[in-house]
Amino acid sequence: MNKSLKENFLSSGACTGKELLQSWLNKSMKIKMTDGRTLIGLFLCTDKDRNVILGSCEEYLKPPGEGGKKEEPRILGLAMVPGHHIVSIQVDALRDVKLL
Amino acid sequence: MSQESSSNVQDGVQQSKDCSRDDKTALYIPKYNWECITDVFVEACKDLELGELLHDSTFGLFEAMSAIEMMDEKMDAGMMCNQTKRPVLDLHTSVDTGLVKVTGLTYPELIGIMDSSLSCMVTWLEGHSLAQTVFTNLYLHDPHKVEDKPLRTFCLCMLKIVDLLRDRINKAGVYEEEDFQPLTYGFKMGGDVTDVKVISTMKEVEEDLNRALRHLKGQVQEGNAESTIEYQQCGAVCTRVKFFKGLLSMLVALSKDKCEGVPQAKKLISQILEFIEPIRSTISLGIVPEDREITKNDYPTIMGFDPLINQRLLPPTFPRYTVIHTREDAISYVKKLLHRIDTATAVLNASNIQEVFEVFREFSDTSPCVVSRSILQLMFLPPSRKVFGVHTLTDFLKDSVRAFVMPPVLSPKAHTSISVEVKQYVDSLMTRAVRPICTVLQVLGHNRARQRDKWAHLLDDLVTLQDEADKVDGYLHQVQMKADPSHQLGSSFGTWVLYYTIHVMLAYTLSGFELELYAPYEYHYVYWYLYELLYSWMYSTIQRAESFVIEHEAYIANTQGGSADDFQIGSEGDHSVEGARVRKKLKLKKREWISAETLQSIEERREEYTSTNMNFKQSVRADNRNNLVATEEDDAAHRSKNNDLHFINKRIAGKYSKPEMPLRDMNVRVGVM
Repeated sequence: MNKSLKENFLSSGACTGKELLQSWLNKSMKIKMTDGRTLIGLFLCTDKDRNVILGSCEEYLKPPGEGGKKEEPRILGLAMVPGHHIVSIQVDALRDVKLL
Repeated sequence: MSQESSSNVQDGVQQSKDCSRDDKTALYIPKYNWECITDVFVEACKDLELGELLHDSTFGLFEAMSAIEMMDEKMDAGMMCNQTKRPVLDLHTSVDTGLVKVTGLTYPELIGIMDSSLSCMVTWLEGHSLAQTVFTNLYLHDPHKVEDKPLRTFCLCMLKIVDLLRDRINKAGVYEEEDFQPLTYGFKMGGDVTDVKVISTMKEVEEDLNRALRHLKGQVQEGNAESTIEYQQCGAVCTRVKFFKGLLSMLVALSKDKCEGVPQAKKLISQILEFIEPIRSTISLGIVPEDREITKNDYPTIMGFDPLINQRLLPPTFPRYTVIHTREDAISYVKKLLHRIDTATAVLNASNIQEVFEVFREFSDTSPCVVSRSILQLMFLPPSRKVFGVHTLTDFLKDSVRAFVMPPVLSPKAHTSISVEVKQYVDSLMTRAVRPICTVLQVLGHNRARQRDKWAHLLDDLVTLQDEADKVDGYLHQVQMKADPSHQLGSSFGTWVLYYTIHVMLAYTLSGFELELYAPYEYHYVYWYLYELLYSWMYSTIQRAESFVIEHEAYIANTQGGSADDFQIGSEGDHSVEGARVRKKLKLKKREWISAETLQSIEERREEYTSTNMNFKQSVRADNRNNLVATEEDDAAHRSKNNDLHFINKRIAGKYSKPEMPLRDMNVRVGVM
């Protein structure tokens, strides 16, 4: 689901791209890399070339949720993904509290 | 329990489904609400300047530097090219698919598995991680799944051996990152079975194999040709079972609290050593790996081993490649290790710190492995913090001071004649001395490359201790002057501390040669320092100590009516076997901790350095004659360097520099012959 830039501005109250990026800092982010691996971590830092640094990062070989078995992620800690290896980025927009 | 949104994903938080809970005490499961922002992100990033980083205030350059770079094959261990194409299965899957046998193993298979396990253990002891060595053996992940009795027992035995070694090395605390990796990755080490049970089960397996051997021998004698090979194989397995049982028993014996297991350990070592050659000659009987593609971290293995099984457990650093030792190398390593441990047991014969120090020094000179160094440390000072598990540290130190200078204040008869205050002073000095002296011995337990730095730090502590010892000596001197001005007592405690201080200074200076830190043009500074200062001091200190012993013995005999033979180890009135043994030793060898040979060799070394120093002085003077341009700055630098040396050493030595040894400084003046 691709929201336009303007919709994103309106929903988060940001005026510039920079403020939008800052609104995402320290949120959980899921990045899919060019070799098919998926990384989930806290968005800590980025730059003009879209290199992203994720904190408390976990690596999944298959996208989590798909496939039969629940996969054990490999714990990476602090990881940097070069911008040109990023296929897609997803951010954890709203925290949903589900009660059992 | 899933939401209908297509981008919702339940993340990897494992929660137990406790249905007995009601809504009031509900479990909180965070669920992600993923929103795709790829294009938006790309657009937003264009707003940034080149080189500008967007982050919050808690994130700094250090963090940015220490992140692992993904998709870089040198840093990203999980990259596809660093991953293997073949399937990596755990123990249970391998057993279920029939790739790994847990029952009905043949003798060659057992031999191969045991020898490979030993190779992995030896590789681990050389500083690699457990995950890439010992635990590449799948059987060790869950020994109880193994039905074959010899293999199951062997696995438990191996886990126990690894656990004991790890425990010893951790407790001794003389390892560095390059020596040993302590991480266990959460693997269980057979903690649900006791050591005794494992050893007794190994004995049962040994007996089963002996029965089979006898049966096979009968068949061989009947002329059955096939049985010959099987007989050899069975014998090989039996020898290995005895070997590993012995190894475990030895480690258990060494770990006993009061070092009472050491004689038994020595016996076991000599027994185990007999098995080494039979094992070596039967290595070829074991199964060998089939050929397989060799990549950087994947190599061919036999059934039950997989080098990549623990890849996901490794901490996220750059990929590390472990090369497992060959089976022959492994058994040779173990042979040398056993000899080193045997040598280390000699420390128990020491009766004072000076002797322990000599043992530790000689041992360290051989550059031993981390296991033997750790075992030596723990034999001297087990976790109970009692020397050899028996004596308290302060008592042992008092005995050492007695052996070195025999101060009257420490003789047992002195109790009645000295005041409570004096006794307190001396006791508190001994307590204060425990840490620096024990650190001296601990530094000797580290690998040789790391010792130099630690010597430097230790000198600070020793200087402080020297000051305190001097104060106590001064106080004792005052007390003595009041009591009996005709007899003057020497500076006993100060001399004892100085002995160790000079040893540490010597160790520091000589380690510079071993680490090749000195440039050739600096040699004559160092040789001068050794000859003029350190070795001279050492010699005069030892001579002074010797004369003290004679004087004090006479003094004690005259005033306290006893003889020095009454000195007892441990607390006064110690009637233990250990005490009697050491008392006997003290009677027979009063000052033998520093033998005539050592004094001779110190003198020889002094002469050696004198002549080397002479040669250097002459060549330097010749250079200067030719050069003629030794500037004022050079002179000043030498002078200030020497001044620093003088200042440091004077601070340490204080009033101990004797008048007949004037400190000459080494100004190399132009044109002086």
